[in-house]
Amino acid sequence: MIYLTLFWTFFKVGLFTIGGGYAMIPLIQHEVIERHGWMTAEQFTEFVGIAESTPGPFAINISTFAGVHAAQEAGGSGLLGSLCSTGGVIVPSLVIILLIAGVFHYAMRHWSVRAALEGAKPVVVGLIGAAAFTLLLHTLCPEGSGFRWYSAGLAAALLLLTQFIRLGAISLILLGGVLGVGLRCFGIAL
Amino acid sequence: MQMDPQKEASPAEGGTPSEPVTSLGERLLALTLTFGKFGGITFGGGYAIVALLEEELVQRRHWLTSEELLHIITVGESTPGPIAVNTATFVGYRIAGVLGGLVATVALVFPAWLVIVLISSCYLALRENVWVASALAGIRVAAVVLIARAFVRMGHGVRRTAVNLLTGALAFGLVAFTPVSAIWIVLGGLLFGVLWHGVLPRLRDKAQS
Repeated sequence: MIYLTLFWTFFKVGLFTIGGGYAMIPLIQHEVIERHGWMTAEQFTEFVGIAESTPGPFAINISTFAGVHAAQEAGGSGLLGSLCSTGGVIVPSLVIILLIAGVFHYAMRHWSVRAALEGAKPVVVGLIGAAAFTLLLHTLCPEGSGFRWYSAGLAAALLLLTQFIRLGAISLILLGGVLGVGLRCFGIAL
Repeated sequence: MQMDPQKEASPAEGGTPSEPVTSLGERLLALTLTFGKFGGITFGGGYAIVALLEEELVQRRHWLTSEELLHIITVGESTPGPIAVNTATFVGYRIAGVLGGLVATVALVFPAWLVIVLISSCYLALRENVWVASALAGIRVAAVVLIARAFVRMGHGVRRTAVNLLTGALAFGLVAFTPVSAIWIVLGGLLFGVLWHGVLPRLRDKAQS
């Protein structure tokens, strides 16, 4: 049952995401690419770019996108799939916050809660690093093709550019898209 | 966020809304509009919500004090789930109870969900087009740069101690090179934190005294 699987998968993602949208990437990546095979690493990376350049919270966008796609891949309804994935990702937040909103102040001050979060912080950063690393690998040398020098060059150029100019996420994504089309005009496929 | 002492004329320490004089319907409507606006207009991660909420709920409606909002956002950051969703649920709850929490969250999610459902319904068909495919190839590269940037930015927020570097590197290695689920690694990090940052210093203190 794809809908139940989607709900449960994204419920887990919501429950174990600590620190906002980007912390969600490694979790979704593992579930949808490696575990369930709902999409390729290429498609997932495109989703990240699209989710970042459409309005609304990044986490909701990426969950909705993944839900539509996974349900369609399984021959189901994308609309229902997205309801399950997006619903799944927000239910842990809703339940946790509503259940303990009254005692939150005290719970958050308890030493064990603070110690747990302190321990999770570097781990979450490491996870995001791993997501960047594996997606970079897939982008530069996808399965069944050689090393993509032009993509590597573009990645290096964009990285260098962001060191000198303050580029917002949307500008960066748009720039990537425009350069992709522009290079294609000169016969260069990324 | 700016602290304005005048706004704290009626401090609400016990967790009740600052000015519960308006009707429930009015408060629910305001929550719907505020969070619907955030879900439909603003771009980017959870932090974009801070400025909007400060303007709408603190400056304009005086339903929360700056201090309350800051507290809510801190909680939103350190509880499981997307920051924006956590903040919406908590703000909604503070202003109109459990129903408020639900209304604010659904209002936040709905526009974003709708836009993505519309986009994704034509994504697969458009992906076949050579120009769209070229644009997507460029977007992929930019997206990876974006994630790498988030990694660097979030890394700056973590203290550079030996144990932090070690656990971070371990998490990196496990996810990048083994099939271990990221969920277990987050769970491991939480448990390790309790032991290393919580239990161990307490045992040490006890041993000394």
